[in-house]
Amino acid sequence: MMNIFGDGVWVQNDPLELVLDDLLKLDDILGCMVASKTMIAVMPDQSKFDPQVLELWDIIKRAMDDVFVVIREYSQTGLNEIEFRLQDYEVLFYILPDTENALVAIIPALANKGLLEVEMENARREILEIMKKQESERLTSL
Amino acid sequence: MDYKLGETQAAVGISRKWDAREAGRDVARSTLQKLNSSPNFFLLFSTIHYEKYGGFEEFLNGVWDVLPQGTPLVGGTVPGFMNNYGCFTRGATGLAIASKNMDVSIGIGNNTKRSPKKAAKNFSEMINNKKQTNYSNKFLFVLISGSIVPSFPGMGMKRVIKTKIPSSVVSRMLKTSLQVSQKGVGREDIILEEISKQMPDFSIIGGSSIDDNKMEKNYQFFNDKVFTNSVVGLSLQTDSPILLDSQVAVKKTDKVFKAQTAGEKYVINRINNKPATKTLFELLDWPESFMDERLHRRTFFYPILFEKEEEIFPEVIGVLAGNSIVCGFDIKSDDLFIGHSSRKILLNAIKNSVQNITKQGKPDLGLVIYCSSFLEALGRDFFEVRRILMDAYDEAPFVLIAAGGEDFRIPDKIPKHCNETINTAAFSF
Repeated sequence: MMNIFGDGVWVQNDPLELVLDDLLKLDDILGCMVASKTMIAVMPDQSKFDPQVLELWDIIKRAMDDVFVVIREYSQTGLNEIEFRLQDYEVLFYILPDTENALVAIIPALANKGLLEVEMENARREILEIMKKQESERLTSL
Repeated sequence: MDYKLGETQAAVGISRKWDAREAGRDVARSTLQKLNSSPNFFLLFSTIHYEKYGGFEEFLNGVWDVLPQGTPLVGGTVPGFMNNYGCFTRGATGLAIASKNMDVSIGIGNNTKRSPKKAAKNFSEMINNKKQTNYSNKFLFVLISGSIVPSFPGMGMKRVIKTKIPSSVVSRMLKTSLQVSQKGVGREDIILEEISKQMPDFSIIGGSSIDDNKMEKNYQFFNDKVFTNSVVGLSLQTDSPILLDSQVAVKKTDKVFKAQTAGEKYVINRINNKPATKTLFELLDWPESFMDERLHRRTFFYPILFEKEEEIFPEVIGVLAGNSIVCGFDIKSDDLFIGHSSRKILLNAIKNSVQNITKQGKPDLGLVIYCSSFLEALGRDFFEVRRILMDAYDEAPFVLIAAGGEDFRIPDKIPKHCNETINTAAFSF
Protein backbone atom coordinates (compact mmCIF):
# COMPACT_ATOMS: atom_id res chain seq x y z
CA MET A 1 0.00 0.00 0.00
CA MET A 2 1.34 3.40 -0.79
CA ASN A 3 0.40 7.03 -0.51
CA ILE A 4 2.32 9.61 -2.44
CA PHE A 5 -0.04 12.53 -1.94
CA GLY A 6 1.31 15.97 -1.16
CA ASP A 7 5.02 15.88 -0.61
CA GLY A 8 5.44 12.55 -2.33
CA VAL A 9 6.40 10.73 0.85
CA TRP A 10 5.10 7.19 1.13
CA VAL A 11 3.06 6.83 4.28
CA GLN A 12 2.27 3.53 5.94
CA ASN A 13 -1.19 2.95 7.48
CA ASP A 14 -2.68 5.99 5.86
CA PRO A 15 -6.40 6.35 6.68
CA LEU A 16 -7.02 6.50 2.94
CA GLU A 17 -5.77 2.95 2.72
CA LEU A 18 -8.46 1.84 5.14
CA VAL A 19 -11.17 3.43 3.01
CA LEU A 20 -9.89 1.61 -0.08
CA ASP A 21 -9.51 -1.65 1.82
CA ASP A 22 -13.17 -1.40 2.84
CA LEU A 23 -14.19 -0.93 -0.78
CA LEU A 24 -12.04 -3.82 -1.91
CA LYS A 25 -13.80 -6.16 0.50
CA LEU A 26 -17.02 -5.77 -1.51
CA ASP A 27 -17.40 -8.78 -3.81
CA ASP A 28 -17.80 -6.81 -7.00
CA ILE A 29 -15.03 -4.28 -6.48
CA LEU A 30 -12.25 -6.07 -8.32
CA GLY A 31 -9.72 -3.28 -7.86
CA CYS A 32 -9.71 0.31 -6.60
CA MET A 33 -7.37 3.22 -6.08
CA VAL A 34 -7.07 6.97 -5.77
CA ALA A 35 -5.29 8.17 -8.88
CA SER A 36 -4.55 11.13 -11.10
CA LYS A 37 -3.16 11.59 -14.60
CA THR A 38 0.38 11.59 -13.40
CA MET A 39 0.32 8.99 -10.67
CA ILE A 40 -1.53 6.38 -8.73
CA ALA A 41 -1.66 8.19 -5.41
CA VAL A 42 -3.05 5.50 -3.14
CA MET A 43 -3.56 1.91 -4.11
CA PRO A 44 -4.20 -1.11 -1.90
CA ASP A 45 -1.89 -4.05 -2.12
CA GLN A 46 -2.37 -5.34 -5.69
CA SER A 47 -2.41 -8.90 -4.40
CA LYS A 48 -5.88 -8.05 -3.06
CA PHE A 49 -7.07 -7.23 -6.58
CA ASP A 50 -9.03 -9.79 -8.48
CA PRO A 51 -6.59 -11.79 -10.68
CA GLN A 52 -8.77 -11.11 -13.76
CA VAL A 53 -8.09 -7.39 -13.35
CA LEU A 54 -4.36 -7.91 -13.01
CA GLU A 55 -4.33 -9.80 -16.30
CA LEU A 56 -5.88 -6.80 -18.02
CA TRP A 57 -4.11 -4.20 -15.91
CA ASP A 58 -1.93 -2.76 -18.70
CA ILE A 59 -4.93 -2.12 -20.96
CA ILE A 60 -7.05 -0.75 -18.13
CA LYS A 61 -4.20 1.53 -17.04
CA ARG A 62 -3.77 2.90 -20.59
CA ALA A 63 -7.52 3.56 -20.88
CA MET A 64 -7.47 5.22 -17.46
CA ASP A 65 -4.66 7.53 -18.53
CA ASP A 66 -6.78 8.74 -21.43
CA VAL A 67 -9.77 9.33 -19.17
CA PHE A 68 -7.59 11.37 -16.82
CA VAL A 69 -6.86 13.76 -19.68
CA VAL A 70 -10.59 14.53 -19.73
CA ILE A 71 -10.73 14.73 -15.94
CA ARG A 72 -7.84 17.20 -15.85
CA GLU A 73 -9.56 19.32 -18.49
CA TYR A 74 -13.01 19.40 -16.87
CA SER A 75 -12.67 18.69 -13.15
CA GLN A 76 -12.72 22.42 -12.38
CA THR A 77 -15.97 22.86 -14.31
CA GLY A 78 -18.06 20.45 -12.29
CA LEU A 79 -17.28 17.11 -13.89
CA ASN A 80 -17.75 14.61 -11.09
CA GLU A 81 -18.17 11.17 -12.54
CA ILE A 82 -16.99 9.21 -15.59
CA GLU A 83 -17.26 5.55 -16.41
CA PHE A 84 -16.28 3.32 -19.29
CA ARG A 85 -16.80 -0.29 -20.21
CA LEU A 86 -13.84 -2.36 -21.32
CA GLN A 87 -14.44 -5.98 -22.29
CA ASP A 88 -16.23 -7.55 -19.31
CA TYR A 89 -15.42 -4.74 -16.89
CA GLU A 90 -16.56 -1.26 -16.06
CA VAL A 91 -14.23 1.35 -14.67
CA LEU A 92 -15.84 4.02 -12.49
CA PHE A 93 -14.16 7.35 -11.79
CA TYR A 94 -15.50 9.42 -8.89
CA ILE A 95 -13.67 12.70 -9.17
CA LEU A 96 -12.53 14.41 -5.98
CA PRO A 97 -13.77 18.00 -6.42
CA ASP A 98 -11.22 20.73 -7.07
CA THR A 99 -8.48 18.19 -7.70
CA GLU A 100 -7.36 16.16 -10.67
CA ASN A 101 -7.64 13.02 -8.56
CA ALA A 102 -10.35 10.43 -8.74
CA LEU A 103 -11.44 7.44 -6.77
CA VAL A 104 -11.31 4.65 -9.33
CA ALA A 105 -12.96 1.24 -9.10
CA ILE A 106 -13.03 -1.67 -11.51
CA ILE A 107 -16.19 -3.77 -11.38
CA PRO A 108 -17.65 -6.59 -13.49
CA ALA A 109 -19.83 -5.29 -16.31
CA LEU A 110 -22.72 -7.35 -14.95
CA ALA A 111 -22.43 -6.10 -11.36
CA ASN A 112 -25.34 -4.37 -9.65
CA LYS A 113 -23.70 -1.03 -10.14
CA GLY A 114 -26.26 1.10 -8.33
CA LEU A 115 -25.51 -0.59 -5.03
CA LEU A 116 -21.77 -0.21 -5.52
CA GLU A 117 -22.21 3.45 -6.40
CA VAL A 118 -23.66 4.12 -2.95
CA GLU A 119 -20.54 2.74 -1.25
CA MET A 120 -18.28 4.47 -3.80
CA GLU A 121 -19.95 7.76 -2.86
CA ASN A 122 -19.47 6.99 0.85
CA ALA A 123 -15.79 6.29 0.14
CA ARG A 124 -15.41 9.50 -1.82
CA ARG A 125 -16.93 11.50 1.05
CA GLU A 126 -14.61 9.80 3.56
CA ILE A 127 -11.58 10.48 1.36
CA LEU A 128 -12.50 14.16 1.07
CA GLU A 129 -12.85 14.40 4.85
CA ILE A 130 -9.46 12.77 5.36
CA MET A 131 -7.80 15.01 2.79
CA LYS A 132 -9.36 18.07 4.41
CA LYS A 133 -8.10 16.97 7.81
CA GLN A 134 -4.63 16.22 6.45
CA GLU A 135 -4.49 19.62 4.79
CA SER A 136 -5.61 21.39 7.95
CA GLU A 137 -2.95 19.52 9.98
CA ARG A 138 -0.36 20.42 7.39
CA LEU A 139 -1.29 24.12 7.59
CA THR A 140 -1.25 24.04 11.40
CA SER A 141 2.22 22.57 11.41
CA LEU A 142 3.64 25.32 9.18
CA MET B 1 -30.45 9.43 16.40
CA ASP B 2 -32.85 9.55 19.30
CA TYR B 3 -36.08 11.31 19.92
CA LYS B 4 -37.93 11.80 23.16
CA LEU B 5 -41.55 12.76 23.48
CA GLY B 6 -43.82 12.09 26.43
CA GLU B 7 -43.40 8.54 27.52
CA THR B 8 -42.30 7.25 24.14
CA GLN B 9 -38.77 7.21 22.80
CA ALA B 10 -37.62 5.99 19.42
CA ALA B 11 -34.07 5.36 18.29
CA VAL B 12 -32.20 4.32 15.20
CA GLY B 13 -28.69 2.87 15.22
CA ILE B 14 -26.08 1.72 12.80
CA SER B 15 -22.96 -0.36 12.39
CA ARG B 16 -20.40 -0.31 9.61
CA LYS B 17 -18.12 -2.88 11.17
CA TRP B 18 -17.19 -5.89 9.06
CA ASP B 19 -16.95 -8.58 11.71
CA ALA B 20 -20.41 -10.10 12.26
CA ARG B 21 -20.26 -10.32 16.05
CA GLU B 22 -18.79 -6.85 16.47
CA ALA B 23 -21.36 -5.41 14.05
CA GLY B 24 -24.20 -7.07 15.99
CA ARG B 25 -23.00 -5.54 19.25
CA ASP B 26 -22.37 -2.21 17.61
CA VAL B 27 -25.77 -1.84 15.96
CA ALA B 28 -27.57 -2.84 19.17
CA ARG B 29 -25.43 -0.52 21.30
CA SER B 30 -25.76 2.45 18.98
CA THR B 31 -29.56 2.06 18.96
CA LEU B 32 -30.15 1.34 22.64
CA GLN B 33 -27.82 3.99 24.03
CA LYS B 34 -30.39 6.57 23.03
CA LEU B 35 -33.23 5.00 25.00
CA ASN B 36 -33.77 5.59 28.71
CA SER B 37 -35.52 2.27 29.23
CA SER B 38 -35.64 -1.19 27.67
CA PRO B 39 -37.09 -1.28 24.16
CA ASN B 40 -40.49 -2.79 23.42
CA PHE B 41 -38.97 -4.35 20.29
CA PHE B 42 -35.92 -4.27 18.05
CA LEU B 43 -36.11 -4.19 14.25
CA LEU B 44 -32.84 -5.28 12.68
CA PHE B 45 -31.78 -5.01 9.05
CA SER B 46 -28.48 -6.03 7.60
CA THR B 47 -26.83 -6.33 4.23
CA ILE B 48 -25.75 -9.80 3.10
CA HIS B 49 -22.04 -9.19 3.81
CA TYR B 50 -22.01 -10.69 7.29
CA GLU B 51 -22.61 -14.09 5.75
CA LYS B 52 -18.91 -14.02 4.80
CA TYR B 53 -17.61 -12.22 7.88
CA GLY B 54 -18.67 -14.51 10.68
CA GLY B 55 -22.19 -15.46 9.64
CA PHE B 56 -25.61 -14.27 10.71
CA GLU B 57 -25.75 -16.46 13.82
CA GLU B 58 -22.70 -14.64 15.12
CA PHE B 59 -24.25 -11.36 14.04
CA LEU B 60 -27.33 -12.11 16.15
CA ASN B 61 -25.13 -13.34 19.02
CA GLY B 62 -23.50 -9.93 18.94
CA VAL B 63 -26.88 -8.20 19.09
CA TRP B 64 -27.91 -10.36 22.06
CA ASP B 65 -24.66 -9.55 23.86
CA VAL B 66 -26.21 -6.11 24.25
CA LEU B 67 -29.99 -6.38 23.80
CA PRO B 68 -31.96 -7.07 27.03
CA GLN B 69 -33.14 -10.68 27.13
CA GLY B 70 -36.74 -11.13 26.02
CA THR B 71 -36.86 -8.12 23.70
CA PRO B 72 -38.92 -9.11 20.65
CA LEU B 73 -36.59 -8.98 17.61
CA VAL B 74 -37.40 -9.37 13.93
CA GLY B 75 -35.55 -8.43 10.77
CA GLY B 76 -33.56 -9.78 7.90
CA THR B 77 -31.23 -9.10 5.02
CA VAL B 78 -31.84 -6.17 2.69
CA PRO B 79 -29.78 -4.77 -0.20
CA GLY B 80 -29.40 -1.36 1.35
CA PHE B 81 -30.80 1.18 3.76
CA MET B 82 -30.68 4.78 4.75
CA ASN B 83 -31.23 6.48 8.06
CA ASN B 84 -30.27 9.68 9.85
CA TYR B 85 -26.60 8.64 9.55
CA GLY B 86 -26.39 8.21 5.78
CA CYS B 87 -27.04 5.87 2.85
CA PHE B 88 -25.49 2.42 2.86
CA THR B 89 -25.39 -0.79 0.88
CA ARG B 90 -23.13 -2.42 3.46
CA GLY B 91 -23.74 -2.57 7.18
CA ALA B 92 -26.60 -2.95 9.63
CA THR B 93 -29.27 -0.71 11.07
CA GLY B 94 -31.59 -1.08 14.04
CA LEU B 95 -34.80 0.61 15.09
CA ALA B 96 -36.34 0.45 18.55
CA ILE B 97 -39.13 2.08 20.53
CA ALA B 98 -39.46 2.27 24.29
CA SER B 99 -42.99 3.09 25.34
CA LYS B 100 -45.48 2.29 28.07
CA ASN B 101 -48.34 2.87 25.69
CA MET B 102 -48.15 0.14 23.12
CA ASP B 103 -48.54 -3.60 22.74
CA VAL B 104 -46.05 -5.48 20.65
CA SER B 105 -46.16 -9.01 19.38
CA ILE B 106 -44.00 -10.87 16.87
CA GLY B 107 -44.67 -13.80 14.57
CA ILE B 108 -43.00 -16.17 12.14
CA GLY B 109 -44.14 -18.57 9.45
CA ASN B 110 -41.79 -20.96 7.68
CA ASN B 111 -41.57 -22.58 4.23
CA THR B 112 -43.04 -19.53 2.55
CA LYS B 113 -42.23 -20.65 -0.97
CA ARG B 114 -43.49 -24.21 -0.59
CA SER B 115 -46.56 -23.46 1.55
CA PRO B 116 -47.21 -19.71 1.53
CA LYS B 117 -50.75 -19.85 2.92
CA LYS B 118 -49.78 -22.13 5.78
CA ALA B 119 -46.81 -19.92 6.62
CA ALA B 120 -49.09 -16.86 6.65
CA LYS B 121 -51.63 -18.60 8.89
CA ASN B 122 -48.97 -19.72 11.36
CA PHE B 123 -47.51 -16.22 11.40
CA SER B 124 -50.93 -14.61 12.01
CA GLU B 125 -51.86 -17.11 14.72
CA MET B 126 -48.71 -16.31 16.66
CA ILE B 127 -49.53 -12.63 16.62
CA ASN B 128 -53.27 -12.99 17.19
CA ASN B 129 -52.77 -15.41 20.08
CA LYS B 130 -51.01 -12.84 22.21
CA LYS B 131 -53.41 -11.01 24.47
CA GLN B 132 -53.56 -7.37 23.50
CA THR B 133 -54.82 -4.20 25.16
CA ASN B 134 -57.61 -2.54 23.27
CA TYR B 135 -55.60 0.18 21.54
CA SER B 136 -57.24 1.89 18.59
CA ASN B 137 -54.44 1.73 15.99
CA LYS B 138 -53.25 -1.64 14.78
CA PHE B 139 -50.12 -1.79 12.67
CA LEU B 140 -48.17 -4.72 11.27
CA PHE B 141 -44.71 -4.78 9.75
CA VAL B 142 -43.84 -7.87 7.69
CA LEU B 143 -40.61 -9.03 6.12
CA ILE B 144 -40.96 -11.96 3.74
CA SER B 145 -38.21 -14.04 2.20
CA GLY B 146 -37.97 -12.75 -1.37
CA SER B 147 -37.46 -14.39 -4.73
CA ILE B 148 -34.40 -16.49 -5.44
CA VAL B 149 -33.34 -16.99 -9.05
CA PRO B 150 -33.75 -20.74 -9.61
CA SER B 151 -30.90 -22.80 -10.97
CA PHE B 152 -31.89 -25.13 -13.81
CA PRO B 153 -29.88 -28.18 -14.81
CA GLY B 154 -27.38 -27.28 -17.52
CA MET B 155 -28.35 -23.60 -17.42
CA GLY B 156 -27.17 -22.46 -14.03
CA MET B 157 -28.52 -19.43 -12.19
CA LYS B 158 -29.33 -17.04 -15.01
CA ARG B 159 -31.79 -14.23 -15.52
CA VAL B 160 -31.81 -14.59 -19.28
CA ILE B 161 -32.07 -18.08 -20.76
CA LYS B 162 -32.06 -17.96 -24.53
CA THR B 163 -32.67 -21.66 -25.06
CA LYS B 164 -35.99 -22.26 -26.78
CA ILE B 165 -37.83 -24.06 -24.00
CA PRO B 166 -41.62 -24.27 -24.17
CA SER B 167 -43.51 -22.13 -21.64
CA SER B 168 -45.29 -25.14 -20.22
CA VAL B 169 -41.89 -26.64 -19.38
CA VAL B 170 -40.70 -23.35 -17.83
CA SER B 171 -43.83 -23.25 -15.68
CA ARG B 172 -43.39 -26.86 -14.56
CA MET B 173 -39.71 -26.36 -13.77
CA LEU B 174 -40.42 -23.24 -11.72
CA LYS B 175 -43.20 -24.97 -9.82
CA THR B 176 -40.99 -27.97 -9.08
CA SER B 177 -38.13 -25.73 -8.02
CA LEU B 178 -40.40 -24.01 -5.47
CA GLN B 179 -41.66 -27.29 -4.07
CA VAL B 180 -38.33 -29.11 -3.96
CA SER B 181 -35.69 -26.50 -3.21
CA GLN B 182 -37.79 -23.39 -2.35
CA LYS B 183 -36.06 -21.46 -5.09
CA GLY B 184 -38.12 -19.19 -7.30
CA VAL B 185 -40.68 -16.48 -6.65
CA GLY B 186 -41.20 -15.36 -3.06
CA ARG B 187 -45.00 -15.85 -3.03
CA GLU B 188 -45.26 -12.62 -1.06
CA ASP B 189 -48.56 -11.74 -2.77
CA ILE B 190 -50.22 -14.91 -1.47
CA ILE B 191 -48.72 -14.42 1.99
CA LEU B 192 -49.87 -10.81 2.22
CA GLU B 193 -53.39 -11.72 1.09
CA GLU B 194 -53.64 -14.46 3.69
CA ILE B 195 -52.27 -12.30 6.51
CA SER B 196 -54.74 -9.57 5.52
CA LYS B 197 -57.58 -12.10 5.82
CA GLN B 198 -56.37 -13.33 9.18
CA MET B 199 -55.71 -9.85 10.57
CA PRO B 200 -58.38 -7.66 8.94
CA ASP B 201 -58.06 -4.72 11.35
CA PHE B 202 -54.37 -4.15 10.75
CA SER B 203 -52.65 -1.65 8.50
CA ILE B 204 -49.65 -3.37 6.98
CA ILE B 205 -46.42 -2.31 5.40
CA GLY B 206 -43.60 -4.64 4.56
CA GLY B 207 -41.06 -5.83 2.09
CA SER B 208 -39.19 -8.76 0.65
CA SER B 209 -35.92 -9.73 2.25
CA ILE B 210 -33.23 -10.22 -0.40
CA ASP B 211 -29.44 -10.08 -0.74
CA ASP B 212 -27.43 -7.53 -2.74
CA ASN B 213 -29.95 -7.64 -5.60
CA LYS B 214 -28.37 -10.81 -6.96
CA MET B 215 -31.39 -12.77 -5.71
CA GLU B 216 -29.30 -15.77 -4.71
CA LYS B 217 -30.08 -16.00 -0.98
CA ASN B 218 -31.69 -14.15 1.91
CA TYR B 219 -32.07 -14.55 5.66
CA GLN B 220 -34.69 -13.59 8.21
CA PHE B 221 -34.11 -12.93 11.90
CA PHE B 222 -36.53 -13.94 14.63
CA ASN B 223 -35.37 -13.38 18.21
CA ASP B 224 -32.02 -15.20 18.43
CA LYS B 225 -32.47 -17.44 15.38
CA VAL B 226 -31.67 -17.06 11.69
CA PHE B 227 -34.16 -18.44 9.16
CA THR B 228 -34.57 -18.75 5.41
CA ASN B 229 -37.83 -18.92 3.42
CA SER B 230 -39.75 -17.34 6.27
CA VAL B 231 -42.10 -14.49 6.97
CA VAL B 232 -41.33 -12.56 10.12
CA GLY B 233 -43.14 -9.56 11.46
CA LEU B 234 -44.17 -7.37 14.29
CA SER B 235 -47.54 -6.03 15.33
CA LEU B 236 -47.74 -2.77 17.15
CA GLN B 237 -50.93 -1.51 18.76
CA THR B 238 -51.14 1.97 20.12
CA ASP B 239 -53.39 4.98 20.53
CA SER B 240 -50.76 7.20 18.92
CA PRO B 241 -51.46 8.16 15.32
CA ILE B 242 -49.84 6.02 12.62
CA LEU B 243 -49.42 7.91 9.36
CA LEU B 244 -49.42 5.75 6.24
CA ASP B 245 -48.71 6.38 2.60
CA SER B 246 -48.02 4.38 -0.54
CA GLN B 247 -46.67 5.81 -3.78
CA VAL B 248 -46.24 4.14 -7.15
CA ALA B 249 -43.15 5.52 -8.89
CA VAL B 250 -44.19 4.43 -12.37
CA LYS B 251 -46.23 6.09 -15.09
CA LYS B 252 -48.45 4.17 -17.50
CA THR B 253 -47.44 4.34 -21.15
CA ASP B 254 -49.80 3.90 -24.09
CA LYS B 255 -48.32 0.46 -24.78
CA VAL B 256 -51.11 -1.91 -23.84
CA PHE B 257 -51.21 -5.64 -24.48
CA LYS B 258 -53.08 -8.84 -23.77
CA ALA B 259 -51.15 -11.44 -21.86
CA GLN B 260 -51.67 -15.14 -21.40
CA THR B 261 -50.06 -16.96 -18.54
CA ALA B 262 -48.93 -20.57 -18.65
CA GLY B 263 -49.92 -22.66 -15.65
CA GLU B 264 -48.23 -20.45 -13.11
CA LYS B 265 -49.83 -17.02 -13.04
CA TYR B 266 -46.48 -15.26 -12.88
CA VAL B 267 -45.23 -16.76 -16.18
CA ILE B 268 -46.37 -14.92 -19.32
CA ASN B 269 -46.11 -17.19 -22.32
CA ARG B 270 -47.98 -15.15 -24.92
CA ILE B 271 -48.48 -11.46 -25.59
CA ASN B 272 -51.19 -10.44 -28.07
CA ASN B 273 -51.37 -14.13 -28.96
CA LYS B 274 -47.72 -14.21 -30.05
CA PRO B 275 -44.58 -15.50 -28.26
CA ALA B 276 -44.14 -13.33 -25.18
CA THR B 277 -40.45 -12.32 -25.06
CA LYS B 278 -40.12 -11.46 -28.74
CA THR B 279 -43.36 -9.47 -28.69
CA LEU B 280 -42.38 -7.56 -25.55
CA PHE B 281 -39.12 -6.53 -27.19
CA GLU B 282 -41.06 -5.38 -30.27
CA LEU B 283 -43.42 -3.33 -28.08
CA LEU B 284 -40.47 -1.70 -26.38
CA ASP B 285 -38.58 -1.19 -29.65
CA TRP B 286 -35.63 -2.96 -28.11
CA PRO B 287 -33.04 -4.82 -30.20
CA GLU B 288 -32.41 -8.47 -29.47
CA SER B 289 -28.91 -7.53 -28.29
CA PHE B 290 -30.55 -6.14 -25.12
CA MET B 291 -31.42 -9.70 -24.19
CA ASP B 292 -28.43 -10.28 -21.92
CA GLU B 293 -27.66 -10.51 -18.22
CA ARG B 294 -27.72 -6.71 -18.03
CA LEU B 295 -31.41 -6.81 -18.91
CA HIS B 296 -32.53 -6.07 -15.37
CA ARG B 297 -30.68 -2.73 -15.52
CA ARG B 298 -33.13 -1.71 -18.23
CA THR B 299 -36.35 -3.45 -17.25
CA PHE B 300 -36.78 -1.60 -13.99
CA PHE B 301 -37.32 1.55 -16.03
CA TYR B 302 -40.01 -0.31 -18.01
CA PRO B 303 -41.98 -2.55 -15.65
CA ILE B 304 -45.12 -4.42 -16.60
CA LEU B 305 -48.29 -3.06 -14.96
CA PHE B 306 -51.72 -4.42 -14.28
CA GLU B 307 -54.68 -2.79 -12.58
CA LYS B 308 -56.98 -4.23 -9.97
CA GLU B 309 -59.66 -2.33 -8.06
CA GLU B 310 -58.25 0.97 -9.32
CA GLU B 311 -54.80 0.21 -7.98
CA ILE B 312 -51.73 -0.07 -10.22
CA PHE B 313 -49.44 -3.04 -9.64
CA PRO B 314 -45.97 -2.67 -11.23
CA GLU B 315 -43.93 -5.83 -11.77
CA VAL B 316 -40.25 -5.83 -12.63
CA ILE B 317 -39.41 -8.60 -15.07
CA GLY B 318 -37.42 -11.19 -13.16
CA VAL B 319 -36.25 -13.74 -15.70
CA LEU B 320 -36.58 -14.35 -19.44
CA ALA B 321 -36.64 -18.05 -20.19
CA GLY B 322 -36.99 -18.85 -23.88
CA ASN B 323 -40.14 -17.09 -24.93
CA SER B 324 -41.52 -16.89 -21.41
CA ILE B 325 -41.42 -13.81 -19.21
CA VAL B 326 -41.12 -14.73 -15.57
CA CYS B 327 -42.44 -12.08 -13.21
CA GLY B 328 -42.07 -11.86 -9.44
CA PHE B 329 -45.69 -12.49 -8.48
CA ASP B 330 -49.05 -13.49 -9.94
CA ILE B 331 -50.48 -11.34 -12.70
CA LYS B 332 -54.10 -10.67 -11.85
CA SER B 333 -55.33 -9.28 -15.15
CA ASP B 334 -55.04 -10.23 -18.83
CA ASP B 335 -54.77 -6.57 -19.78
CA LEU B 336 -51.28 -5.28 -19.14
CA PHE B 337 -49.47 -2.01 -19.72
CA ILE B 338 -45.84 -1.17 -20.06
CA GLY B 339 -44.87 1.33 -17.43
CA HIS B 340 -42.11 3.88 -17.41
CA SER B 341 -39.99 5.11 -14.57
CA SER B 342 -37.12 7.58 -14.39
CA ARG B 343 -34.99 9.44 -11.87
CA LYS B 344 -37.45 12.34 -11.99
CA ILE B 345 -40.48 10.11 -11.42
CA LEU B 346 -38.74 8.36 -8.52
CA LEU B 347 -37.74 11.59 -6.81
CA ASN B 348 -41.22 13.07 -7.31
CA ALA B 349 -42.72 9.95 -5.75
CA ILE B 350 -40.57 10.31 -2.64
CA LYS B 351 -41.47 14.02 -2.44
CA ASN B 352 -45.19 13.16 -2.73
CA SER B 353 -44.80 10.52 -0.05
CA VAL B 354 -43.18 12.97 2.34
CA GLN B 355 -45.86 15.58 1.61
CA ASN B 356 -48.68 13.11 2.24
CA ILE B 357 -47.15 12.01 5.52
CA THR B 358 -46.44 15.49 6.85
CA LYS B 359 -49.96 16.58 5.86
CA GLN B 360 -51.31 13.92 8.24
CA GLY B 361 -49.17 14.99 11.17
CA LYS B 362 -45.66 15.51 12.45
CA PRO B 363 -43.65 12.31 12.10
CA ASP B 364 -41.65 11.37 15.21
CA LEU B 365 -40.39 8.14 13.68
CA GLY B 366 -40.42 6.89 10.11
CA LEU B 367 -40.16 3.48 8.53
CA VAL B 368 -39.99 3.54 4.75
CA ILE B 369 -39.95 0.52 2.46
CA TYR B 370 -38.49 1.35 -0.91
CA CYS B 371 -38.09 -0.86 -3.97
CA SER B 372 -34.54 -2.16 -4.40
CA SER B 373 -34.77 -1.53 -8.13
CA PHE B 374 -34.82 2.21 -7.31
CA LEU B 375 -31.59 1.76 -5.42
CA GLU B 376 -30.07 0.12 -8.47
CA ALA B 377 -31.54 2.75 -10.78
CA LEU B 378 -30.54 5.78 -8.72
CA GLY B 379 -27.09 4.70 -7.57
CA ARG B 380 -25.49 7.65 -5.89
CA ASP B 381 -28.67 9.71 -6.35
CA PHE B 382 -29.93 7.63 -3.42
CA PHE B 383 -28.31 10.43 -1.38
CA GLU B 384 -30.80 12.86 -2.92
CA VAL B 385 -33.65 10.72 -1.56
CA ARG B 386 -32.03 10.96 1.87
CA ARG B 387 -31.82 14.74 1.62
CA ILE B 388 -35.59 14.87 1.01
CA LEU B 389 -36.27 12.60 3.99
CA MET B 390 -33.86 14.49 6.25
CA ASP B 391 -35.75 17.71 5.48
CA ALA B 392 -39.04 16.06 6.39
CA TYR B 393 -37.96 14.19 9.52
CA ASP B 394 -35.79 16.98 10.90
CA GLU B 395 -34.28 15.44 14.06
CA ALA B 396 -36.72 12.54 14.24
CA PRO B 397 -35.27 9.08 13.59
CA PHE B 398 -36.12 7.25 10.40
CA VAL B 399 -35.04 4.13 8.56
CA LEU B 400 -35.60 3.41 4.90
CA ILE B 401 -34.95 -0.13 3.77
CA ALA B 402 -34.68 -1.28 0.20
CA ALA B 403 -36.67 -4.44 -0.48
CA GLY B 404 -37.14 -6.92 -3.31
CA GLY B 405 -40.88 -6.18 -3.33
CA GLU B 406 -43.12 -4.01 -1.21
CA ASP B 407 -46.30 -4.75 0.74
CA PHE B 408 -49.03 -2.30 1.64
CA ARG B 409 -52.50 -2.70 2.96
CA ILE B 410 -54.97 -0.59 4.86
CA PRO B 411 -58.23 -2.06 6.22
CA ASP B 412 -61.06 -2.25 3.66
CA LYS B 413 -58.62 -1.92 0.75
CA ILE B 414 -57.05 -4.71 -1.24
CA PRO B 415 -53.64 -5.87 -0.08
CA LYS B 416 -50.95 -4.81 -2.49
CA HIS B 417 -47.68 -6.58 -3.12
CA CYS B 418 -45.75 -5.13 -6.04
CA ASN B 419 -42.53 -3.48 -7.16
CA GLU B 420 -41.49 0.12 -7.71
CA THR B 421 -43.46 1.58 -4.82
CA ILE B 422 -42.51 3.59 -1.75
CA ASN B 423 -44.47 2.70 1.38
CA THR B 424 -44.22 4.68 4.58
CA ALA B 425 -45.42 4.23 8.13
CA ALA B 426 -44.67 7.21 10.32
CA PHE B 427 -45.47 7.39 14.00
CA SER B 428 -46.59 10.50 15.79
CA PHE B 429 -46.10 10.03 19.53
